[in-house]
Amino acid sequence: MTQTPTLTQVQIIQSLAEALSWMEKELSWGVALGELNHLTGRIGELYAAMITRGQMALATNQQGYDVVSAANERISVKCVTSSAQVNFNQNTFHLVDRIIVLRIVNERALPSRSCSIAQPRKLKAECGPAARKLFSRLLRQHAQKNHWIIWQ
Amino acid sequence: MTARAVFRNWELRKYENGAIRIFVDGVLQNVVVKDVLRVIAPELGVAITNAAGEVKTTHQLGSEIIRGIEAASSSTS
Repeated sequence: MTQTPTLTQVQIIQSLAEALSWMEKELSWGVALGELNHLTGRIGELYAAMITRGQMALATNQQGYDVVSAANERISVKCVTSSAQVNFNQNTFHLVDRIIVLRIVNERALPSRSCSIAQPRKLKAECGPAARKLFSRLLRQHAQKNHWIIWQ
Repeated sequence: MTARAVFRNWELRKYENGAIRIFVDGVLQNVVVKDVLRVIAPELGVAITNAAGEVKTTHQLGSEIIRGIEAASSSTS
């Protein structure tokens, strides 16, 4: 069965642009970044889909992963703001081929905000021993592929 | 039109008056050009802010992105 894409690459970029703009508007109104989880999660998934030229997972609440890359990797995307830690569900972690962790930083001291990518930092995973092993392997395999997005 | 470049399905066109417009399959897109450029820029290694830390104008960003796409395509061809 051929599954149709949920969003085209054009729509992914457009949606990402609008989501970032929406987030920026709320931040300018004084809303705390931590209150915008619904936006940051979606921004993370759209961004991951864009950089991997992939697709959003087809099922609503798809177990284990959020994005499928152009190379058919199943990617679990985590998007954090202030947290230095991400959590994975060890029951579904075997469904994941790659992880992308994004960090959105709001630097309020700056009069304007911009979006850029920085190097990944060391990550901590909170999960059981089996999943931790898998997590370590994924981190090693994709050390060059994990991204941080900095929103300043 | 003074410059054009293609990023995936997006065609960026720069006109004589400096305006940047985005087309897909020849159709003008009703999008906020600056927002889209800010999403594309990191992919091409183009900084969004200038030396003073201010966000570049749409004209500046568009011109740099078009140059960035041209540079990327000439280095791979």
